Amino acid sequence: MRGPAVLLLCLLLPLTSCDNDFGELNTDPQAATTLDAKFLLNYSINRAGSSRYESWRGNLIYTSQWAQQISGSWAPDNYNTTNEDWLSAYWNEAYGTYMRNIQNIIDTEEGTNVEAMAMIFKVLIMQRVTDMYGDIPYSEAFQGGNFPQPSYDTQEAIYGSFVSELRQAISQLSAGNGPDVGNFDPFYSGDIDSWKRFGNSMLLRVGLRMSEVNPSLAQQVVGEAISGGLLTETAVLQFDGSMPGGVVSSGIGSVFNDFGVGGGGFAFSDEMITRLQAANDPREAVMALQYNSDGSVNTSVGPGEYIGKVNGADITSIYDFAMPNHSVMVAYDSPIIFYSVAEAEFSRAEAIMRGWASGSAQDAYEAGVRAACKQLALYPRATEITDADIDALLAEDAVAWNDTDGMELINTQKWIALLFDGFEAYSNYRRTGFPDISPGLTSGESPNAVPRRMRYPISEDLTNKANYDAAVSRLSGGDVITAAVWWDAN
Amino acid sequence: MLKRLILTVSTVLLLTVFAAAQTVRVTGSVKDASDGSGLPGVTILEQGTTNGAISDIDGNYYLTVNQGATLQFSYIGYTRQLVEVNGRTSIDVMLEGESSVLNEVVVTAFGMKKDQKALGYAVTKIDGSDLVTAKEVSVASQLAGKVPGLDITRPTTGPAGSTNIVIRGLGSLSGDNRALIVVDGVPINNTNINSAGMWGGIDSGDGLSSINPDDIESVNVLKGAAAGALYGERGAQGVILITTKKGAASDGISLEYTTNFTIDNAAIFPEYYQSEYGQGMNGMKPSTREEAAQNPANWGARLDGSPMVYFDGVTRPYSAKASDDLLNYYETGQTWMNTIAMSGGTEKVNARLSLSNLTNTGIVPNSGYDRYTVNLLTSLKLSEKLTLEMKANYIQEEATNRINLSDNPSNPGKAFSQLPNNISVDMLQQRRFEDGRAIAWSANNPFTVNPYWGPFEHQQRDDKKRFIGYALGRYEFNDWISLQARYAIDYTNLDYFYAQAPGTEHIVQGSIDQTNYETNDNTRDIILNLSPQLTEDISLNVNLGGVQNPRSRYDYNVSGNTFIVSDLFNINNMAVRNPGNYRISELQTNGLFGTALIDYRGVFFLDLSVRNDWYSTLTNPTDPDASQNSALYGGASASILFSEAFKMENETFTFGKFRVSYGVAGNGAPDPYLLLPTFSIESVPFNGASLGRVTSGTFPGSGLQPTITKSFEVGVDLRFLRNRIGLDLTYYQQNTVDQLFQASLPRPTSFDRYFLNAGDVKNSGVEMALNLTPIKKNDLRWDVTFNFASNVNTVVALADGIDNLSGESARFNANLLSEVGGQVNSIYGTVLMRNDAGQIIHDESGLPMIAPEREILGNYQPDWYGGLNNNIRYKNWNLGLLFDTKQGGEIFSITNQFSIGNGSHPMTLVGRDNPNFEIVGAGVTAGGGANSTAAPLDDYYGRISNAASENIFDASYIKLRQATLGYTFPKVQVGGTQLRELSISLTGRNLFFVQNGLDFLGLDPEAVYNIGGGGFEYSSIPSTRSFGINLNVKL
Repeated sequence: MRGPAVLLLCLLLPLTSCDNDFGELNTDPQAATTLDAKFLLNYSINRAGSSRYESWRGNLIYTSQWAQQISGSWAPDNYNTTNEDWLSAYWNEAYGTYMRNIQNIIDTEEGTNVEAMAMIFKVLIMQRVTDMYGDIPYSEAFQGGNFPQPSYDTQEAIYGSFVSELRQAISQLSAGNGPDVGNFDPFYSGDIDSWKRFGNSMLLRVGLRMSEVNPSLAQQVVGEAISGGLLTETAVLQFDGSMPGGVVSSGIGSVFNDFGVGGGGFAFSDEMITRLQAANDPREAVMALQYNSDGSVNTSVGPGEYIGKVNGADITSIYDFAMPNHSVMVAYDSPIIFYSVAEAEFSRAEAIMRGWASGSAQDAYEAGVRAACKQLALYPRATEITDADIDALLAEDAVAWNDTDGMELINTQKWIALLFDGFEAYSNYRRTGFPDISPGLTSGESPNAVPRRMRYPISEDLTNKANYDAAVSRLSGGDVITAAVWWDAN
Repeated sequence: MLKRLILTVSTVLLLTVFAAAQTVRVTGSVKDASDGSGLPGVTILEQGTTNGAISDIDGNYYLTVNQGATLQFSYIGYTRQLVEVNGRTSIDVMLEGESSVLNEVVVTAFGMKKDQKALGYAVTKIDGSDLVTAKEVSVASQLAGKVPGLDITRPTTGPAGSTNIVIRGLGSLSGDNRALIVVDGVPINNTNINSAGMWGGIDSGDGLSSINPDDIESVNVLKGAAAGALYGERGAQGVILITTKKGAASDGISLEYTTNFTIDNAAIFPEYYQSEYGQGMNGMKPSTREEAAQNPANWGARLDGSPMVYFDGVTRPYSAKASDDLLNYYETGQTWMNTIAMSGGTEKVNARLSLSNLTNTGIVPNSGYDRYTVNLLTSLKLSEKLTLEMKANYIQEEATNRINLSDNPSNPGKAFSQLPNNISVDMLQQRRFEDGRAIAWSANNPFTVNPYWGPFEHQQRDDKKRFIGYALGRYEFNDWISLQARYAIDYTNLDYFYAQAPGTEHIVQGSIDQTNYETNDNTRDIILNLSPQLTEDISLNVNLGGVQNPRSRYDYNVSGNTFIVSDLFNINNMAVRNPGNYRISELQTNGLFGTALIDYRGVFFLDLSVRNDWYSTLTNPTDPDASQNSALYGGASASILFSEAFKMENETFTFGKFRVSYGVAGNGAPDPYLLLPTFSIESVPFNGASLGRVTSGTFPGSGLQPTITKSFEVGVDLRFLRNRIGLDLTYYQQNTVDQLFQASLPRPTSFDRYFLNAGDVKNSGVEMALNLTPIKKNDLRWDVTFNFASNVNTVVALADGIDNLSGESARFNANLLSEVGGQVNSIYGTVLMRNDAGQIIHDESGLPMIAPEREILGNYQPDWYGGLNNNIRYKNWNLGLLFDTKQGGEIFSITNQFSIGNGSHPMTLVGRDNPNFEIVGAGVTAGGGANSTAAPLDDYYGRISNAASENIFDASYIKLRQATLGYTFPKVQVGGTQLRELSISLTGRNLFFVQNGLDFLGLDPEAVYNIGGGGFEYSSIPSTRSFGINLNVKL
């Protein structure tokens, strides 16, 4: 057909015949041009927990080290942030990967349950991003070439959007409203009531974050969230373990296992280990182990004897310190928790202390500790922590409730419960100042103080300069890690 | 099918050469009438036939002709002579120099041969004989320094790696600025399928590395859109036209054997590292094996020879290795190339068949490359009117353990730029402990491994099979109308295998990655040629044609990790299998074109062309009819031989030509499927539910239309003193507008790129070629060619609201940026803050400050470049010396960054004597006062190393690119048969630098890791110096 004969005809016939079938030829025979939203929802949530790239850089290297839950041989531990790839990893993946798919659901499934789920997940992801960096593109974001250079919204405005988007999502969720996503929803298998609770819990996270900067709005949002009903089941990505290192295994697990034991370069921080040991915390034995450099377990030390690494300190060997138990906490099939029952309880306890909700702060706090210990059961091969162990823990001086130290107790225990969710742990620390950690030993970019934010990726300066410059001008001292974000008024 | 074809044609070939007649064998010599010197290369033709011969280096020839024949002797620059044989067996002739000269024929678009004098644009021709003596694996690198305006870069990516060929500057913003390669009139696929980026990779070569240099008759370089207009979208960046050798009518067959043996040695490598302090921390040497393995940076104690437990547990003296210790690692590379060619024919049938093989071992241990080629060209004149031509070229390339480049942990250069000063190569022979674990000298960083690990533990191989060929039919209706149809194929299958052994520090479970690439480029064209003589003074040559150019590529990838059995390198031995990936890319361009060449009395020429192209890549599937998927463009060029037109020739002034041209060329999008979003399903579900995602990272703009390149040039060609002085000057200006490019979008848009239509890049410059023959005597001749080109590259405009476009990123602290008002692909990186007096500004911790914003630090494109070629012939001896140079470019060196950051750079000796391992950096504080704060030494130098501004160097060089010394034996008889030629040459390539901007670092300015043209160097392996011997026998 496309032989020389056609060429001859091409010479003789009207010129338009020379592009016959080009439309068909220019259609990728292997790609769809639309796709059902449930696939996209499943992908986005999975990707957020299973990708080694940003789990390593955004979660572990930055926020978890700065929250001082862990410490390692990676530069930001000493407050040096020159590695642009690490700095931009979460930004790039959140906007470029999760949101490209989430936005497609929002654009095509208006008014449905699956859109509501997408909106709740959107707020979870984008809250992490604004909490890390400060003002970010939001109202003009996710639109491709329609806004090739999206402007930066203030964090205050973004939080306003979070509240209204969550409200809309919660009210939109109702039985029969749009497609049943079933097991394409890895959190709650499409259960509408669970998603409403998840939405309310996100409203609680968003509201509480504004406690220091806009207490009246915070009080209103927190009250609304709690009365709406908080989650009773942790939002978690539970891997079945069949695919180590593949698409659907823990991103954090990949960091700790792809390079052999110790290859991930992280140990528990001294702050974490000393707090666990001060309370004879039964979780220490489940969470920590010390290893030899050949990967075998160092049996000469046990719980109570483990040593955590001091953040920012030079070390000679990572094997001198206690690491997360590789077969329990950071295995390929270890779960990734997005929002735990424990966190919801601790936040509710704080709300009660602030007088923003009714009930007993102590009860909520103890429910939080209990849930935090029990959530270890989500981890494979974990030794169960018994109710008796928990009762003993709650009686320890360092943990036992007293009203005076309530805020510190709540937020210290919350910090332990948020292990491997550095995003939330780091933000909650900046907001509350708890736990009372010592800044890393370092002469880096934030001498003698825990950094307050991450620098923007260099790509923003390159491709969105005017808007980037405007955002930087609103920061104290420029695009530096010592500048506080809007809600960080403490 | 191929086999049968070869058989048939060979039979025809053999039968025809035995044709006999009433013949006589004529011998003789051809000499220059002015000085009596022998003239080599004179064409001697039996008039009225295609039977002919070429005089040898001394001007001698022999030829078997009909007794009553007339011989025609012709040579460029000399008056043609006709001599009747009249039964004589010996005929000597003297040729008179011509006043009006230059009848050289060059090849232009579609294989059309044109007199160079008729061309209104610059074309440079290189004879194949200039390429076959001092060989490299790829002929592309041998063009360096030989053509004005041809910018060649041959990265240190291994012997069969790819070559960057840029003509007249970077015109395109979208990346590929390489010239189009055309072989025997057909564009070939020159894709560099595997290349290294910031994260590593290998260079699996390009299309040109398949071509056997011994098959090349000539290379013509067409510059500018006017010259390339007829190649449509692919010609806008200039064209390299390669013509391969063909059979010719002759008496008997010709046999030619060429063999070439070359050795390569590591020549340029870093030797500047300090040797006073060894590995350790805080000024102390490691005290345990573990500390040694965890602290490979040279922040230890003074190397005093005291005992130390090394990373492998062995106690050795703590002392410095030799500065050239890496020579114990790199080997002597060897390349052996053989070609045997047979050709011959009659007026009706001719053919040439060549077979070649190449065997190479590289300087990196356990690496090598083999190439086998067979090339058959045949022409059959079936009747007075009908001619058939066929070409079949089959190439097989097999590479093993190509060099891992840039950030790949197995890049041996990466190990050598990070190894402690006290660890020498002999300590690294043992790669594993007895239990199989890697013995790590840098256990703190699994991404830096033993330099022997990659070559001996990993397995890399690629196997390329390629067929290039065509079939052509030409029917001559009468002496001025002919019709030609051709079907050409360039098909490649590349099988690529890469396995990382289990136990590899950064992927302990091991992995396998295997891809099969298949590319198929077809060119189908029909050309109607009309060449009427309109009047006695005016002749016309018109071509009308159509062409279809479908191109496709299919990639099939399988990969996985976790070896089940440790030594079985098979994908089925992977416990974890990644989803298979099958990728299709299909596109097509159709074109209609017409050209007209008007020749007025052979002194004034006007060449007109017009073309319309249709591009599938610009056709929107949802609305094909509304797509702006076609471009109509054309060009005009004119030349006048003013010396002849105005009778200006005299004893001094031999020849003068003035030329001017203007051309426009259209260009479609390089890749298909960019106009609609795409979605895909991931192959592995999560708990039984599938995952799906938006695959396209490119946001398509609306109203996309073809890119347009506009090119203007004007030039003169002047020759004096009977061609002993020749000067060719060209000025050009080229604008590439409405570029189809993928602008980087800020990530908050959720897309990576915005596919749009905008921008204007201007390249303007001058090119000069000066040819001199200072000495021309009987036995001695000295030719000098000097060529020079200078190009100014400017980004005139990008899209609305977009004032810069970022390109490739380096692994650390720098990326490429094209900024309005600046150059394409400038190096943009972090900068150490300095005050007006140039002093470093320190922060409150006493560390040097890095400015918050990156700055443009340079550009790899040279300001000017050129070559100086000397050729001296004395009797049977021939000496050639080729220098080439590039001046004014910059290169970014990560090798240097590492050396500062890990304390091996000599600058890090400052401050070592401080007992607290601290340094008070010389300079000021942010407040302006003198800095008095002490900072840890490693942090201090670590900060400096992170500023790209400290790792930018001048990439200028002058290199003795090539030297050859040849001897041609006079009249050798072997067993009663006289050899037509026997010559032997000693050759050298890349012999030494006269000037090297990276001299201090011990790096070659060409030592970048890919052909993207960005100027990023990252722990490159040494560049090599080659010596070879070449033997050529013609029977």
